[in-house]
Amino acid sequence: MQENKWIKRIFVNRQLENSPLVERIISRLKPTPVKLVDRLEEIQAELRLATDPIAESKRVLFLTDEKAFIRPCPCSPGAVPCGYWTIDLNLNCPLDCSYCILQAYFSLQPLTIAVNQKDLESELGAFLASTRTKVLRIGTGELGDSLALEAISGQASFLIDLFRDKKGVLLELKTKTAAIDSLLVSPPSENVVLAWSLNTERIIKMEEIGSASLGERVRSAERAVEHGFKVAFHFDPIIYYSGWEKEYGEVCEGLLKKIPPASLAWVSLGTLRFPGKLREIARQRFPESLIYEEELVRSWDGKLRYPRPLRLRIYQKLGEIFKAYGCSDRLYLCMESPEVWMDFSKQNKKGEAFSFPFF
Amino acid sequence: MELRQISLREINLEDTRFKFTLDKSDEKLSFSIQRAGLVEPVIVKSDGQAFILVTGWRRVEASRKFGLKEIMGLVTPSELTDLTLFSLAFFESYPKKNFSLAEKALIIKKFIEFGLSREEIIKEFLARLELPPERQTVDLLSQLACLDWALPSIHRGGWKLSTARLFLTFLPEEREAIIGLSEAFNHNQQAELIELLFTLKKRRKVGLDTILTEEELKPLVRAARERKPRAGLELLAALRERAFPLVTEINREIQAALRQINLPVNSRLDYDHSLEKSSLSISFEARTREEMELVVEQLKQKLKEGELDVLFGLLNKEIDE
Ligand code: SF4
Repeated sequence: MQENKWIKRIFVNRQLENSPLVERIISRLKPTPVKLVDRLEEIQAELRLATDPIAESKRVLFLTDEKAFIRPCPCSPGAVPCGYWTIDLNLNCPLDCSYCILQAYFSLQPLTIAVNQKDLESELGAFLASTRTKVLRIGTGELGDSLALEAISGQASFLIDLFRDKKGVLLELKTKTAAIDSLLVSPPSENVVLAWSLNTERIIKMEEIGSASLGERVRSAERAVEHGFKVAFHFDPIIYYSGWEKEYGEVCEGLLKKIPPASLAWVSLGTLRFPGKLREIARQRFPESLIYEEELVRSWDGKLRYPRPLRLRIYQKLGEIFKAYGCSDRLYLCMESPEVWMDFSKQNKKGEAFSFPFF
Repeated sequence: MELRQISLREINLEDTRFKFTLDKSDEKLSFSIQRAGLVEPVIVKSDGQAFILVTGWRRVEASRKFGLKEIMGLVTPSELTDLTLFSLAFFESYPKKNFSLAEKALIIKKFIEFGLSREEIIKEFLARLELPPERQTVDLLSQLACLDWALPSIHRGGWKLSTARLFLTFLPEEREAIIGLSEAFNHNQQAELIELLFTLKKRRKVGLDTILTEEELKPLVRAARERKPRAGLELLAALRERAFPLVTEINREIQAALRQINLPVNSRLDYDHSLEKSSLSISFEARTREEMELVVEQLKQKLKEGELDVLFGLLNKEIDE
């Protein structure tokens, strides 16, 4: 039995009651109460009655099946795409970041684990056979943290094994936890990148509820490197506040002193951005958070962002640090306009505006 | 229900337990009552001494105005509960009327008072009122409905749920100040006003009073309270400048630079005021090739002399902080 930090109740799709993975997950979560349901709506009807349905949805686990798993990453229209694909074996996330887009993206979606993971094998085979891209990046961290439920579901380990012999594909597992013990049991895989979203200690404490501390994340990354994995980092969202420059600088420097460039697969930078609807939800759920009250303007895709000159300043400042450590070729900007990319690249990547990926 | 003539004097208008509409009687209704009398009977409940109006508040108001002494009314059977009567009032209006948020708040509050459970309200009514069917909605609107002094302004202002949500985060005296100002603004401006005040208050960690009594804002606030023409717009502009200092400052510099540039006649310079784009565009009109050549020549000259450099510099401005 695992230590269960998150789940208060388990709902199981009645048709999958006898699935071995369902049985395994339930036994790992014992004595959490279990209820069989026929439809997702039955769970949603309960979530509606909660005073904070989003918080409640993160404590309720739904074991079910999904029809399809692989999708192109939904980049902002008009942004420079990075050609990323996502595998969504889990929906929703037990962590509770104040800026998390899932708050606005999902409506009454319980933490969902797709237990028909075997179906992914055939879907992946067909997908890889049909794609022409030379090097493909694919990851699981879009609709939830890749490792937060690992102790319960074992899905990351399953994926690592699934991708182990796949050529030309890079699997990225992205997390804000330090839950990598189970991944260090088997040998590393060349095409698996373990990634951490990083932020300053202040932002982690105030805005990333339930996540591991900065020190724990960096330490996990070091362990992953020692084990032989490649690692990646996402400074996303970078939050502007008085003192950002010093504190983000320290995080970057601290990281680059510990992670050898040879093990660094890529690093993304992305300043805070969100659709207006998220601000409405988050202001209510996180009344203490100040991140939504900075100067934010509606940008090209309708999302709110810091004014372009400020974003550029932030990217350039952090870019300089990576340059000093000889790693500027690993940097890319997430969901940014061609204009910002261009200005950023001029200084940091010597005119190579859109070179991606870096393998 | 029994249909009968009812003396208007017999109706106790003090008892508003079934009232949830906030519209006043309007021109159309007045005209129709004036010309044809009251065509559609109101619904009343008898409490033994007087009648309590279940539906027809606007009709009674207009009938009184035109000096009618009696109107047709349907008297409800005494065994019907107040919840049944309120449901009746609600369903009579529901197909005919788009309720404002303030009215929806009153509907929810009254259903709760008459004994309907929150669960039933969520299940049966919220989606039909075009509201998110969640407990939070019920809680928020019940809270809003308690501010009966503010409901008429909220009704007239056509507020959305998001505006009401922000409004309720203000302290009671701050809410009064906002409602006092609101009449100087149209629908969208009211939403923007509340958004800006919320942002500034939270960002600066001060009370609303500190913002509204700021030296430069004080006269604008006063003028808005007195509903002077353009006062609302000027106050909004001043608040925007405070909420968007970086964009405001760069725009101000660009405007100053633009005043120094003499563009050829019939031409116009544009740029993205949100500064998301760093490019500028110049458009002009010409009726002949010669006219066009002349404008192009003049523009070339200006470029050569570096007259536009300052603008390009500002649009690509790098900031230190
Ligand atoms: S870890 Fe990611 S998915 Fe989970 S709450 Fe935070 S931002 Fe959302």
